[in-house]
Amino acid sequence: MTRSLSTSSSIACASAPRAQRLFAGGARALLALALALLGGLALRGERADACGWDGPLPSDLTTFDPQILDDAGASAVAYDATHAGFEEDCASCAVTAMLADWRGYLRGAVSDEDWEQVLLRATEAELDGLARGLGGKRGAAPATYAQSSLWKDEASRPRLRAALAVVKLARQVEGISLTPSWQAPAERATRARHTRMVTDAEAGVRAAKDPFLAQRYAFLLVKALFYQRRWDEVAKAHERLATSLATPSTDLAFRARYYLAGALLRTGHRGAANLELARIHAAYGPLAGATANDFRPMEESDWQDTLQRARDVRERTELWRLVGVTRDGVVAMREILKLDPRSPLLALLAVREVERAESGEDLQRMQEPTDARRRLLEAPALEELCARVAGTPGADRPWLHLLVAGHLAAKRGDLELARARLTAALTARPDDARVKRQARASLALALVLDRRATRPTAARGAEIAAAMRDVDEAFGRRDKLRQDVRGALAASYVAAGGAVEGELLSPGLLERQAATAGKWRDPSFLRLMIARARRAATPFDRFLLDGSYTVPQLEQELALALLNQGAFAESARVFRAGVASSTKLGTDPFAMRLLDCHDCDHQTYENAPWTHASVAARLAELELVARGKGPRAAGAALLLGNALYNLSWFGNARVLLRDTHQTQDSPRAAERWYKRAYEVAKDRELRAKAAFFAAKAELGDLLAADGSPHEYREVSTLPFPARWFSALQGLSDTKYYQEVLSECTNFRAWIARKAP
Amino acid sequence: MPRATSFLLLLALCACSPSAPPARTEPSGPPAQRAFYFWRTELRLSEAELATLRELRVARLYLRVFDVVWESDGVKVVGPLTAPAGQPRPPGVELVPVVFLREEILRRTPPRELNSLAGWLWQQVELRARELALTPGELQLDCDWTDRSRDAYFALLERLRALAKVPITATIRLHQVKYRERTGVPPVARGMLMYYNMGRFSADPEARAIFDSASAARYLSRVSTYPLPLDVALPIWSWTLHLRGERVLDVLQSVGPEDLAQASMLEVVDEGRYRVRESGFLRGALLRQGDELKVEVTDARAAAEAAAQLTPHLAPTATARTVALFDLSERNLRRHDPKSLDKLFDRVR
Repeated sequence: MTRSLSTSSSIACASAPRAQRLFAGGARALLALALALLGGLALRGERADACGWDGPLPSDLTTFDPQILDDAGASAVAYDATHAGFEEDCASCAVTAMLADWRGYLRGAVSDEDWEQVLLRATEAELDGLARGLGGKRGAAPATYAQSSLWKDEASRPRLRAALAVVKLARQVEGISLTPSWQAPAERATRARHTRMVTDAEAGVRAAKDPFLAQRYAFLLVKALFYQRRWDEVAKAHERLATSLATPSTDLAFRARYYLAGALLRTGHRGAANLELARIHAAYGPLAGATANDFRPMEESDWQDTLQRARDVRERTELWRLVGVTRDGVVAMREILKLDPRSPLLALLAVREVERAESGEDLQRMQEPTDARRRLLEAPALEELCARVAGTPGADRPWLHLLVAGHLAAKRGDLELARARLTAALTARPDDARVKRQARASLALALVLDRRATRPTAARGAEIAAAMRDVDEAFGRRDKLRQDVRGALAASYVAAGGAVEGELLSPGLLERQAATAGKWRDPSFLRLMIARARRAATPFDRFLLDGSYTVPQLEQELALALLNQGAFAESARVFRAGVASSTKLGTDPFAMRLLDCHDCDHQTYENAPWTHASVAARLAELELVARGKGPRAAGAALLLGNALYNLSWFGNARVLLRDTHQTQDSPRAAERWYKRAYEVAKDRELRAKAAFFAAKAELGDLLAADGSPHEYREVSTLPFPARWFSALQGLSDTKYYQEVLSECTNFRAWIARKAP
Repeated sequence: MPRATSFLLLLALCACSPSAPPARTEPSGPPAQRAFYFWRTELRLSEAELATLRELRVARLYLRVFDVVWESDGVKVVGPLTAPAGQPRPPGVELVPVVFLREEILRRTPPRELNSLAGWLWQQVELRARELALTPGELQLDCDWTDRSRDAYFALLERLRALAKVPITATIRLHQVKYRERTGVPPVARGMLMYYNMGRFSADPEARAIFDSASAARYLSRVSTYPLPLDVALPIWSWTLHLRGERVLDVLQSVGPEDLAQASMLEVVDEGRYRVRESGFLRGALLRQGDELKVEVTDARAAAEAAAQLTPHLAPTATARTVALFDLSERNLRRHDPKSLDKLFDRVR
């Protein structure tokens, strides 16, 4: 549907929260009921936004820390992609607040738990029964309330009965305010029932001696009229009952005003409605999100009407603030600047807009942002504006606007201008740690994004390191900053031929690029990495290595790369030097089964002594023997084959290469050693074993070549390792052949297919 | 009838293939049954609208009665059509309820719950019909279903057919005609082919999103063989795109040049192109100084071109085809006088 349609979910006009999330069903039901009693069912979407979000947070997307704002309520306008509203609370908070309200009225007449049961869960029939019970007919009370503390204090019963009457009316009003939904289709109350609700509420207001009850009846009257679409009467009732509605509950007072705004809108008083919404937004956090959603100037004429109705400049700036929050922060800032350069709202909107620009939120309505540059399309206008605010005499916090403008200059690669603005901000606030952190963070970005820089230099590196050193844990965007700075610098190093520095700055970078993906398997590159990682003399060296690969990790990578390439002796030498990481494997890489079972072997050999280093040493020993002659050579070759098979995807010791850049999908190397064992061995049983193990390696190689070695395959879909099955078939007189025939389905199928 | 939806999908599916030769060269068959879509939230017809319905002998009015959307954790009715008391109804015009169903609902609803969804949906239609004091003789579902949601949608239609006991019809988009093997053919009595929403949103002055004959031509080859009797919906509306640089920020629905000519905040930069001189609100959008507006008008010539392009590709139907114009509004009637609309209705058989 493309036209704007008014939605029944919103009190004043059509709108849905920008980011909607799923909400736990139970909590939602509880909240719906609680809010129905409070009168805020229109807020369901808003409240739901407070729970269960698992998408990226602003801190994952942006590098300008909103903590720079120290205003009370700064969080209310700081951009948060996960929140439709601005001071979201949660289901339990609403219930807690409501119960606290009632606690004041009930004065201990009933326990919180028992009253919660009545307030949130009792049906109308149960409420009637309870009222009769409190009136003296105890037998009329529902059995489920027999143990309730409702009955403990005789003197409080009149008070409790009055409370029950309010709850019952609230329950009835709730019936018409609930939007029909799939789960619980609401039945429309009859006209007579509607009328009775209104008259009951009117009577309640008149009869109430206690302001608490009077306010609740007055509120229910406004709410009932609203949901009966008696818009004119809403406004009249609100005016007539203004005193009752105002106290004692602030929450109810503002919710009644929210209904008034909705009624004004429906009766064509858009200018007045928007002003009322803006006032509620400014004054009452829990409704800020809902009112922002409903705030909807349509034409310039109604907007001018709203502005003219505002009492003073402050209200007008607050109206523009809401425009900034919901529509266009830059336009709103321009208008606030004209009205009052001293307004703190300029800084709030500037920070919000820089967050929004960096996270690309504004583009998500119609076009997904595809890259960082596109995300920042809104930034030039904001940068120009913040620079203008900073230069306006008397403007509020010019240093903050300098920081924003400097940050945006940094993001577009203008180092000179960024540096000038950031320095000016620091000069204005020499003792402000937050300013220093942000200025240094933005400078680091400017240094790595400098569009005039052609290649990384030592001087530039030193300055980046110094800037980053000043951005400590207190900076709320540190992780993202670190990621961006190191990522940009790494890219420039790689572009300039500095793959080693690039990879140390941004681990994994080389593997993500086809041209450099093989570097990690190149021992000479690994030796360069190790040499660079050993140099930590300068601040830049330390920045480079901070959080990156360690020397023991790199030494292990080198040793395993060598091992993986068959250079066993050299691999063993690297491990023997004692620097490379080496841990227990919890398996036996030299053991072999007829049918593979990775987990069984890990169970069986859980306490085996093998480590990375001892495996390499053993492989080096076995290689020497296997290159000889006779049964010992055959046995050693078989064990070598086992180890190499096992460290491939199909074997029991792939843990050897885990968490490294070394991979071995195919057991092709194992096949070569099994072949040697087959050729050297005189013992036919050993030859049969070597042939079958070679067939397993051949099969693994076929699956790896198929491109899907990790996928589960039914035996019936496996290819036949025909070369080595044929060799095994020549050894059909052996006991091992019979064992294979008995255990290996694939081999049996191959034999069957070959049978005449 | 959704208008701005599924453009991207259309584009993605829009492989170039030559159109088959038109099946017919001249309109033939009985004259079409004339209809309009009514897509507002309040059933209040102006004198001019009532007069047009009378003058053009319009037989049916398709009323969007509500949308069904997914919100938070379930389906929900939004934008229900209301009817102020005492409003005149067009005499002799059949009122057909239309429900717009967001495709997302079909993907989110577990198959076992489709029956209860259908039951709830029909209950909502009956409720709305009672409130509007109309007796449905047909129910039309408007949903941009895809291959991912076809099974759910078709199951829902089957169930509705059993519940409603009135003919169920469905809107059909061009991509659903062309790629019917993937998207399937809905189990309904008739389809309403939406012959619009085929272009792309673009700041390019030449680009057209409502009706673009070159884009349309790519879909025509399979219209004549679509295995459902097809009624036809043709565009007569206009809208305005809100641009900032090369980006399309928003669509201002039902805003045409006549609206923009009166806005003092705008200056004309070219035909159908305006620049914002001064920031301000227009139809709920906040226009920033320097932004541009691009008007896309479907005038009588464009509507006639759409009808002429499509008609030869329509297979004859056993009963009179319905031709529905989207949508009935004074704004659109000002641009399309009764004479041109009369001709437009006559072009399609």
